[in-house]
Amino acid sequence: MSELLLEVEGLYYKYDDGTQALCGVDLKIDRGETIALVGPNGSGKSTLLMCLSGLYFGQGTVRIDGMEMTKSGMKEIRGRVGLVFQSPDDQLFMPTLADDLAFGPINLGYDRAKVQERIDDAASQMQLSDMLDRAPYHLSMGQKRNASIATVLAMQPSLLMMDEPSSNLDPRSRRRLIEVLESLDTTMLIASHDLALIGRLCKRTALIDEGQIVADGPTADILGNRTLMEEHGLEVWPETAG
Amino acid sequence: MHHHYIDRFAYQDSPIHRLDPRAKILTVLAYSMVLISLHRYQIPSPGYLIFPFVLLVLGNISLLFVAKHILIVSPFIVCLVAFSPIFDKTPCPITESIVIGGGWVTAISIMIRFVLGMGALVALASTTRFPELLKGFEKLGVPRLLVTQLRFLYRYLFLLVDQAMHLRQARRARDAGRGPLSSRWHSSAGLVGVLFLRTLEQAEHTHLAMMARGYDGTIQLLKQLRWQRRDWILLVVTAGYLVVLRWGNYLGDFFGV
Repeated sequence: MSELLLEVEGLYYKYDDGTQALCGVDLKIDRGETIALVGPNGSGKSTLLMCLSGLYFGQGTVRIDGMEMTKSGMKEIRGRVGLVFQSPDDQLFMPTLADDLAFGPINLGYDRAKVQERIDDAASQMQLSDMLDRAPYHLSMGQKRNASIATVLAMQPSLLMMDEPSSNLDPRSRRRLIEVLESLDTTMLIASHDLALIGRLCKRTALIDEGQIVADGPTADILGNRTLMEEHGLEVWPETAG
Repeated sequence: MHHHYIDRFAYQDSPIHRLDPRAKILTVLAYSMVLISLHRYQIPSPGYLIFPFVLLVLGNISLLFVAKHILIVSPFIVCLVAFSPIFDKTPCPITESIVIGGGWVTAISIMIRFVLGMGALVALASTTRFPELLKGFEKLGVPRLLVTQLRFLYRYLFLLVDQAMHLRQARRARDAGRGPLSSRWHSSAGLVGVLFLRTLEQAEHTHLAMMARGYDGTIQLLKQLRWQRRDWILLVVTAGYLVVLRWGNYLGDFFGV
């Protein structure tokens, strides 16, 4: 039987300039699922990820692993939800890759031995074990992307969220990224325009537009629905087009 | 884009690279203080060359690289040196028959001290990885906020330079480098403005990424500094060398040598 990991009920978020980015989002994710979040630019994908990781606080309820997200419980939430930002340069801010991987576990209060163990595991998962001493600016774009994901994996979150993980990657790096993501045994929520990546990784897709989840179901059904996709400014996934 | 990093030799391995950054900072600082403390009419003796030379040679740092860096920053000191003979006309005898203005002696002294001091500083920066250098400064009591700012400056400076270059290229692509000067000044102002906004945006994104990983105001590095016997040796030997170099004459007089 599936176990509920994330539960979002009636989530609203308004930016300081008055833009209503989320207008009552409802979403449930079971443990072990890999879900895609698709939608046109400005639909609220990134804002939703920010709210789910506790960086923005809106109105409504967000529960992760049964724990309600509140400002006072953020330290525990940080260990449960990890967000990989779109630009690796946002994510990699420490002098060496090892320091970047250690940043999260140290802040979670782990001792040195545990931190080292987390670093080794995350680096191994993302095939970065021989690059730990390197500075982020000495990495290629593909390596930076893997490193960004590793920084979050080192915290061993229950839910791994990624914002456009394949953007700016060449085909080979993108293919490698997909293979690595396929090998991860983590619940994932992936916001992306890359339909091929979604088709390969996600069994379920949620479509968001104007701050609301307008469709949620099997990936093939959502991405193959020409009317739905075009109505929301997206393209149909060629592999499902009849 | 390709950048020349100030610490590009710092990723080598040598006896100097393996020293604790604090030991290197303290000795280079002491050496600089001694250089500064020399009288303005005193030309540093050849013995002063030993400290930077040993650091650079044992650290496998190319002397050409050092010379280039000294040249890059020399315009600042050259201005100072150039004014010295104009303002200081105190007679200064070189031999019994040759007397020159004291300003000339000062100029030569400043120039030599500058080259020696820069040699030691380049040796420090080239044999110590920048993050470890900052860690050393932090451990020596430099405010953590300042160290954190320098850390981020070093991390994002090149990114900012890249963005500036891209913006400049985008402007060139449209004005073909032939626009009127007034229009180019105008667009330069816009370019600086855009760069400023992007910097703010980058800072905001980075801060969010830090918060997402539990940032609570302190940054801890994985690698801890370890003070070892070799660091004591460097400190003691350098201290002795500097004392003899600076106060050797007085000591000689004191002990009747």
